[in-house]
Amino acid sequence: MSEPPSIVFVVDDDSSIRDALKSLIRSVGLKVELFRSPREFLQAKRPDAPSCLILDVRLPGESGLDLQRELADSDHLYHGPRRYPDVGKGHESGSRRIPH
Amino acid sequence: MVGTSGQATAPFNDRNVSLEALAESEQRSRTLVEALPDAILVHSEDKIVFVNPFCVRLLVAAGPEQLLGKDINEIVNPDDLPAIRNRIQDCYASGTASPPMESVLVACDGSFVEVEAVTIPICWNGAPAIEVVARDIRDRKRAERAVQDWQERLVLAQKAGLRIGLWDWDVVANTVIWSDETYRQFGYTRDTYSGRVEEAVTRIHLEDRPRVEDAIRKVIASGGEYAQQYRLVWPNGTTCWVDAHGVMVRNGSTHMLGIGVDITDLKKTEQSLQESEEKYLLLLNSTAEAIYGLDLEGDCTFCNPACLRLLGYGAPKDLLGTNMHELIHHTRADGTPYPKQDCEIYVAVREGRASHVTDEVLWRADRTSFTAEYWSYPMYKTGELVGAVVTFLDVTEQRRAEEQLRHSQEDLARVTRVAAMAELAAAIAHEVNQPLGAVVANGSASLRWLARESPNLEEAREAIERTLQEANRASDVIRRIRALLQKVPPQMERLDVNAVIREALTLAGNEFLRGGVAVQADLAPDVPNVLGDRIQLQQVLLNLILNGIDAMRKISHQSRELIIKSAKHPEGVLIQVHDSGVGVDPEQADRIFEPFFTTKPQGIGMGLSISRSIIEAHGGRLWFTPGPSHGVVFQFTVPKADTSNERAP
Repeated sequence: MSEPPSIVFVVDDDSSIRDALKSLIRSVGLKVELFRSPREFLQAKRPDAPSCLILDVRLPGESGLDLQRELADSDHLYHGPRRYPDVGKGHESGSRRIPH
Repeated sequence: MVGTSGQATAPFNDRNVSLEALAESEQRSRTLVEALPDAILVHSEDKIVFVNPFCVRLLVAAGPEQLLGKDINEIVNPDDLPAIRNRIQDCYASGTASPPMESVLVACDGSFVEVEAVTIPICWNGAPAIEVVARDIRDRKRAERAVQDWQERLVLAQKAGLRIGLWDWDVVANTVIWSDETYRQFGYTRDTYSGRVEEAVTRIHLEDRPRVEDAIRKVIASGGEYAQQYRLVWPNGTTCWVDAHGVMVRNGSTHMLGIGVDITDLKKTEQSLQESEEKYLLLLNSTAEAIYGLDLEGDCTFCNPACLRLLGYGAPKDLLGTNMHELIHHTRADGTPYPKQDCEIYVAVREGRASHVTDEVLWRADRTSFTAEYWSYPMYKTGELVGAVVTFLDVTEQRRAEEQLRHSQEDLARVTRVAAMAELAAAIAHEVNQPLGAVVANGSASLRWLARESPNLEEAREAIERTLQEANRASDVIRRIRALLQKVPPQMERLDVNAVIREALTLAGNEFLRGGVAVQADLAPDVPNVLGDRIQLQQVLLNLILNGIDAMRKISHQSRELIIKSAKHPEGVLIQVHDSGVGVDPEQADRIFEPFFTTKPQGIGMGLSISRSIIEAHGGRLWFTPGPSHGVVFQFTVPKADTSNERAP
């Protein structure tokens, strides 16, 4: 059985950014899932597959940085830093394998 | 006549002896009568029958012959005649001498002679006659008249405000005679005063009493003149100052005669004068400002301690009489000589005009200098220029502090401006970055959809559509920001231009202070109301005012002055803002209303451009002309508010 296809998670409160990234990621053959906030991302049931997170820094409620810190503390599979789409040079990215 | 014949006969030997004795007695009487200092005159049946030599002298006759046989009517003053007739009659009737009576006789030369006379009825050659013994009282009368005159003069003096009291103290009997004024001065009335000197003395102020008593004792003991000034304290607390003078008179009795002049008003004036002089001296001595006086030659006439201290001199004598310009003002700050004829301090004396200078140097005794701010005012005495009074301060520290303050304010302003720009930029960046990010992502996506082996045109088209949407969104953001910066649409209303100007001046108050600018508003009361937006017109005024203040920042050789005028104008109201600043460079004159044109390091060059568009939106004009002697006059018109001018905002 082959590995499930890799997936990119996008957390951004701006719908046009989400839509643009969705189209861009899909255009290179990757799966994409969109979330409006860190909370939504954490509460979602995520598929068990190699994944990558694109995280906006400025978000309503919990910020992108808070979410990154939370993931780093709780998950040994996290390979920090990630790219963030909305702060120019500050964009970082990270990928993580979601545990089986 | 009795016994004038000297016939002697023997049988009358005894009788001869008695006749001789008689003759001798008569001779004695005659000598007595002739030697008497009183005039003696005998008249019988109104005719003069005898006069003694003194009477001849009294009535200025050449000799007895001129008087003998005359009618007494001729030698009596007609006014006195009835009284004299009465007396003569009484005399004859009673047969006794009359009491002394004053009357006036007419001398042979027609002059009047005042006499005091006694009439005695006698028998003259067997006929009844009247002997008149008259004493010349002209001296006494003259003295009495003199006293009378003095009395009248005293009354006049009193009327003229001089309060002169008279007193006469019988030292032996210890009684006094006072005039009304003396009673008043001592605070007594004739009823309340016992007449005893001891009681009068109790009214003399306790501090003055020993001195006065001493002086009185001295005069009584050794004569001379008594002169004392003292205070009399009345029971109600009122104080009366008296200047008293007296002399000892010893003619039978021992008297002290004198006068007392009420000098209360004089003393009060003296005292208040002294107090105000002390006050001024105290002020002069304790003020931190240095003050000195100049005469018409520019020489020092006085100086206060602060002046000596600031200039480094020890005593006033170091400055008094010295030419102050040559001593402390001879050289300018840049080391060049300061000619006396240009001296700004001396203009007060030369032209009678006040001057105020803030940035010249004065020189100390040790040849060092300091930056001084000074004021020079002409001094007039009864309308005539007599010199000047100069006040100065050492402002070295103040200038340094001001400079520092200016620097820190400029720094702060720059930092604030930068911070505001940064904040604005960050806000714009965030607002614009979101759609730009989406544009980039959508653009990349559409390229990739097209670059696939089998291009997905539908996905690519959707991505391009989103790209366009996001580009529009970005330009919307920019349009919104521009609209924000352009503020709200104008609110047109009827406005009193003068009130708008006054508000703008109030808003700019701090800038005037900071720029050291004197502002003068010359607002015509008869300007019509205009139709305009209060905020926008204030924005224009503030812009012109702040430009004017900026233009004067570098001015130091003349006063910084900003004049705002309003006036009626054919187009409505004309408003002028006139500064005394550096003016407009003619080469730049036609560019100053262009957007982004600026001569200021920190300016953005929008002020005049925005101002002009605001005024043009109001239907007016904004332009400038060079000032009459210096600086620039920016002026604009605003149409007056009548119905034809009213437009929708």
